[in-house]
Amino acid sequence: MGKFFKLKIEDGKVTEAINHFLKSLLEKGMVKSILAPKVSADGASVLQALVSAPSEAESIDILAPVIPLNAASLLSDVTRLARSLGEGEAARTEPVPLAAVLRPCEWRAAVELTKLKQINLNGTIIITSDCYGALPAKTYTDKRREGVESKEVYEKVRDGDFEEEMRAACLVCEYPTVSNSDITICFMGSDMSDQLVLEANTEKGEKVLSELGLESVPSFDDHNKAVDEATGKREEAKKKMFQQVAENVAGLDNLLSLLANCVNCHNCMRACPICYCKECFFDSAAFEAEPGKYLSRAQKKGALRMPSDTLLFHLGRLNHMSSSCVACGSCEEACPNGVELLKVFKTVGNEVQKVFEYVPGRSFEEELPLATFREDELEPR
Amino acid sequence: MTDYEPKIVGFLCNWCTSNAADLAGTSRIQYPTNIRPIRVMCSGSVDSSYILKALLEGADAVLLGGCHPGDCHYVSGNYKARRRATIMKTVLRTLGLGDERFWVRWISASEGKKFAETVQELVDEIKTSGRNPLATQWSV
Repeated sequence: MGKFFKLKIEDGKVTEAINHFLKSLLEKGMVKSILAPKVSADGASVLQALVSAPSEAESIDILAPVIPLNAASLLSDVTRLARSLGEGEAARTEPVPLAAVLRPCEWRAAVELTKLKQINLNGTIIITSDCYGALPAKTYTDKRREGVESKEVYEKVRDGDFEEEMRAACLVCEYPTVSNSDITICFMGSDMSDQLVLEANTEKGEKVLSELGLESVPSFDDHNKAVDEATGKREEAKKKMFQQVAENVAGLDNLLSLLANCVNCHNCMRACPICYCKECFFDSAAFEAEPGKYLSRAQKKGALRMPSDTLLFHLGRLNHMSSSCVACGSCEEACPNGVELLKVFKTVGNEVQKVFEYVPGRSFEEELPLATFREDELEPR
Repeated sequence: MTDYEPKIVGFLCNWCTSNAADLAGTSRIQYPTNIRPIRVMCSGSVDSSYILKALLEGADAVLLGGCHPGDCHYVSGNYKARRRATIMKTVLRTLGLGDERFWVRWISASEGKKFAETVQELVDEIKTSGRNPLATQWSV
């Protein structure tokens, strides 16, 4: 367990207090930029931004229950820059003076991308926040346009008032918090009217918090209690979902009906933080065919779905990335036709990860299942 | 179902199972002609999507043949293939698509007889379970 510090909140102004804390990271020169969700000019949306000027930090909104997209991919974009500026392996690990404020699913994806050598964490300060779940970006913006305050949306999500509108991934997410980042913002269990507890999980995190002069707190049991409660509820929902998948999603007919509206746009793959390949195998020439091939396939089966190879794409993607799938639900949110991909990917991911006793995002030491092997394992021997 | 001849796609390693198939031939060992062998450089070089593609297009079974553990020409390709095959089988099983049409077997260059027997065994089993339902499914 890490060390706890407290961040003072005045008049219940949580976002202001957090932003003051983030701003001081920039002002004191501890980092050059902060990757965080920031409120749009019209106030109705939240977008990810790389904030460099302290004044710009005032409109960061990490409370807003929305995940514009999984920021792990963005962390990859901004930390891999070090590589292109220099040359070779040395440049790849050059320190990047950057802080990032991430949700647990984003951080877990970032751990996977780090292991895949797509993120350089050297010099970064990773701050993760406890997460009560989020609304689809469009739903959030609609509510803001209807005049609901951002904080009120957050509170209603926290209290479960928006359960029916929430992202499916969030309702079954068993990771409301993570403890392997540098700093955890303990929303869960914190009173929030006059103070917010921050947990330093690493030496780096502890150094940052003490240098900023935050008062340390001996222990904070309320956090664990609140986290356990949230986790328990979602574990239940997750089990129900697995059961529902086994009964109503598995099987060729069910799968085809779930994927009926898929137009093979591959947006799910582009939104997926784990799918980092510059060119997806399924967009590559390997699956291109001359026109006559389609005609002969149609003749052979009597008809051919166009665009073709829809199931191949989804099953293929599952084969490629399910061992690292963090079930963030970005695929589902990115789908223009509302295909319910999350339950398929989470269920399959869970089964695949079980085989290798692997939990994506858990630790840097555990090797990626596809990057290693043991001689005495699996069948056939 | 006895009059139906299954179509089986074989991805056979260049260093072992392909040679085993040759050996079966030169030794005049009879085995069913249902298998369409595709020679690959290593069982570990076959991406899951090619196996999936074969099954989705209507192949009744896929046989992935590689070197025995420890004997891989490229040291560890077959171990990697085994991990990938396990993932593939898990994906198929979890989604209720069945993994029994995808076989992985280690057959060395000297095991011509084992190759012939394996193909016979696979054909017999697939004949009992019948045609791949995906062969007539247009909307995959």
